[in-house]
Amino acid sequence: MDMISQLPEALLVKILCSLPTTKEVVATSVLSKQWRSLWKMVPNLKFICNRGNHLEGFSDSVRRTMLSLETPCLQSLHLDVSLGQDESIDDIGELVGIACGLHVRDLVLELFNPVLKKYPIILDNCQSLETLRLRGDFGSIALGVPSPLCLKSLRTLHLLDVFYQDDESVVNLFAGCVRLENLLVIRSGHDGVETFTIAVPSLQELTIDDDVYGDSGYVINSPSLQKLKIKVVEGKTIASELIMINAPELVEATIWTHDEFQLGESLTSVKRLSLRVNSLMEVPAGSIFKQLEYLQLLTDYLLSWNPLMVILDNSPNLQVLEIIGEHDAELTWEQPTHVPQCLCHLKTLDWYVTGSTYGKEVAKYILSNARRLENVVLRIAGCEIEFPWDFPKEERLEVCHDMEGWCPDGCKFELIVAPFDRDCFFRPSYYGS
Amino acid sequence: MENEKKMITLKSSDDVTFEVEEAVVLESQFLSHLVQDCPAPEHKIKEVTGKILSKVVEYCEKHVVVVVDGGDSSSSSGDDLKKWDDKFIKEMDLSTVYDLIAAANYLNIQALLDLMCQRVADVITACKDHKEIRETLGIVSDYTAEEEAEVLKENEWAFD
Repeated sequence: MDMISQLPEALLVKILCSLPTTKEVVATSVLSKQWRSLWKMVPNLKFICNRGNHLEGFSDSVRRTMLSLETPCLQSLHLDVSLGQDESIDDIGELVGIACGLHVRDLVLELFNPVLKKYPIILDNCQSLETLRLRGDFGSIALGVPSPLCLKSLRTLHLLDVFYQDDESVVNLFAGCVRLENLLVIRSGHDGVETFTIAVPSLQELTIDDDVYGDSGYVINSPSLQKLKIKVVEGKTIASELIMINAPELVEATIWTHDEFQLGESLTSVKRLSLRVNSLMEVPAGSIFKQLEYLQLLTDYLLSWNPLMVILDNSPNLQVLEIIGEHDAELTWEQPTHVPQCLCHLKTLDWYVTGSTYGKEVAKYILSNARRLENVVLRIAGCEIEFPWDFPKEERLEVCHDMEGWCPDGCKFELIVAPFDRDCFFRPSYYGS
Repeated sequence: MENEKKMITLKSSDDVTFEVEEAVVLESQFLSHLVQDCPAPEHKIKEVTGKILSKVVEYCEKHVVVVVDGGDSSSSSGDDLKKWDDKFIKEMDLSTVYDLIAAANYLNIQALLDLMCQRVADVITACKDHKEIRETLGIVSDYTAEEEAEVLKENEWAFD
């Protein structure tokens, strides 16, 4: 006998599990009699349907493969469908239903279509489901949840470019997710929702990336939430009135709303904060960021340096300050009447300079008052080839000279010249598959 | 202060011995139980030959070192490890890969098992059709022409 066939069946199945899609797995049935039915033991199914490749038989092969399995459960089903101009697939909802009937644990549905057609998916109670990822395209997946669901095992949910029947569908979807820990919502175009309500007591990590036309509002009521990221697309803003957050356990927050923001009680527990706003509403008395250790401030939407000073004044334990400076005209700056307490023990200052100016006076003020700084990193956007929008080379030297000169004694100074990629600060590791 | 590292001797089915640090042994679920339950200085592994055990040890030693050095397993050490894995499998013929699959399964070293199964899967994926897969893996078909035609028809969608 050939050597591979001497491996135990379970190991051959494991090899099959490592093949890229179910097509390659099923194709091994023709190798020899030993291999004929091995594919039925592979509990992970992945089907890819590209434009024009046998769409008519696609649903049928997915259905038949699912129903032929001889495994105790369907571990995962991944359907990746890209339709052509005049193609449509009308039983995708039925396939999802069969998978739920087979107690699927991980379900990934990606549906791309060039015409603005919506395919309705009615999610039923699927108690085995642990991970669900829906990725549409111009609203190609229309999620309808007419009554509250019970998805009691669901821990991870990704909703990318999905169209929702209505606000109620969103509420009903989350109502039964009693163990949901990780939620990613990427919204675009018109997605059918006015106020996106996320009331999930078990939720720990929430990321919202908003590219919806017009105003969008959020109600986030997740008392266990530890990490929150909200980002709206460049050029759009969301006013604070439209974002209500109740998350008293929050440790890390990224708020990129580009608008005036209310730093309210919901953020007083955070240790790490990244802000990209234009200004701050008056910070309510008593809302002091006692826990805040790390602040990242993106200055490209700021109207003045005032928000920085307000936060510094309210964050007695700040250790690391990171400024991502990106503007072409100096922001207004008024020297405060007293030195913020946190500057006395600030350890690290990281200043990213891109654009043609950087906030010289503020930098000087911070460096002159933060006498216990241990590390100062100056990052300047640029690479070998100089682009017109980069900081001019001769001025770089001046900034560097200035900053190093203002550093307190014994502080380590480092200059890094690197290309600038703002989005890396949002760390969108989840965009890939 | 330097910690004294505890050494353990592994002996293959054909009596080749390998002296390794205890941390290396702990990469294998099977061996860590063995070492805990039976504190002898030497352990014979009857199911694995010296040639294959040397590969297993090489893999585990590399992975232990990187994890310990990396601390919080930073991305650069992750990348280095991946490069090392790629080189490790590239130099190997398929019969060694099969033996390593069996050994990794027996010794319960999940990451090594995954890596080796992925290697075989990649070989299968690179073939243009089932004839080439048979040729590459040395599989002899025991189907009659009619049976083969039947299988091809049954799962027609998978063969275009």
